Amino acid sequence: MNKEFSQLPQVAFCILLALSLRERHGYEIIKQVQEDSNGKINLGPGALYTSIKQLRERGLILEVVHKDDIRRRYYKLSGDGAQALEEQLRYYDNVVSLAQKRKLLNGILAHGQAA
Amino acid sequence: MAKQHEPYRIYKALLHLYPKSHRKAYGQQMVQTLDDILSDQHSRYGRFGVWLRVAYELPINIIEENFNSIGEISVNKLTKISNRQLLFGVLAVLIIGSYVAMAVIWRHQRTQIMELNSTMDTVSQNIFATNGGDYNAVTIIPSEGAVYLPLAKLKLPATPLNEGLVYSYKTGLSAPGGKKLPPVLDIGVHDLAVNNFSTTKQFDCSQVVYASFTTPSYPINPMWESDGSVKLTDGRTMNVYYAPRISGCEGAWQANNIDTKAIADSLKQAVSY
Repeated sequence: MNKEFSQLPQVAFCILLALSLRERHGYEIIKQVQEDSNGKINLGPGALYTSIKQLRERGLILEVVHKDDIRRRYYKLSGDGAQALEEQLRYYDNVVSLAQKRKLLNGILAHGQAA
Repeated sequence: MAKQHEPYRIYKALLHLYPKSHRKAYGQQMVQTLDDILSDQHSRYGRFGVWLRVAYELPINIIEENFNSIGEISVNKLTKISNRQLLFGVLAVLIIGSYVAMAVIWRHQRTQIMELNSTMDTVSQNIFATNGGDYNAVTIIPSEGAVYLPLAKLKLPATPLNEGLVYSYKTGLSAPGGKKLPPVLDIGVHDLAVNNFSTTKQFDCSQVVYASFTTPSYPINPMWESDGSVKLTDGRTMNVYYAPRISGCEGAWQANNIDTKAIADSLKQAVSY
């Protein structure tokens, strides 16, 4: 994988995050993404499979066929996908740490409450 | 996949608008996922909401996928152009194309029509043709407040009767066998002395061409009204003369079934530069 860090699109990141726990099929991914984003990201089948296609092309996820459920295709993280997710999480972690250090979160919250 | 209601069939049909590769790889899974989503909805409103979201998402997604497909298959693999560069190229082509189209329309408008400030309700033509020879024709339609340049190059015989020329444009003509014929333009001579019209020359309108404008000056004739020299919007100068306000003239137009508006409309359609 290219060692240079590249930001993942938000939906792609959410899908990788959803697949970090276990393999999932399309609807399971949609539900997990919805849950992880507190209902803010609500994917339809079109957007979901566009992202899945892009992630597969980048080698970040793999397609899996389950013998007991041949109608649905399942997807799982590849090694590169797990690494990309980790890099992205580290980046966010760093951003959050920075925000906490600068007391941005408290400031923003306080500002929001005051308003 | 339990249900095969009408929306499903429409959804499946719409999947054909995706690029073939995408449809082949993911079409069935998209339908399956939609089926899973709908099966999980326990109310009619919930299912309606899902369809609403699909209706919103699908067209955008189809366009996006087709665009990606063009970028990847047709261009990227041949020229290594990125999608962003392709998008930029398409936008540039669209912008340039719009400018060209606007320029063509503007030029067409500019050369074809000149505004007049007349309320006279007649049609006339301003070539003084008594000497015969080659003339550039102009149709003046004061009822529309415009001068049309129908752009016919006329070769006219010398005749003392050429006080005015009349256009009669005929469309929908057909030969005896039923074969359609092109529109024709009858050029008639208006004999002021007897208020009569006679057809002297018929043009195949596919041969009507644009001619540069060199209107000869018209001698002073008290029976005609003139607004003198007029500057055309493209910079050329022409002398405009209107059909005379002679008693009986309008009746003569009507008697000869000359519909000035129809002539103008037909000429506009017929003439291409």
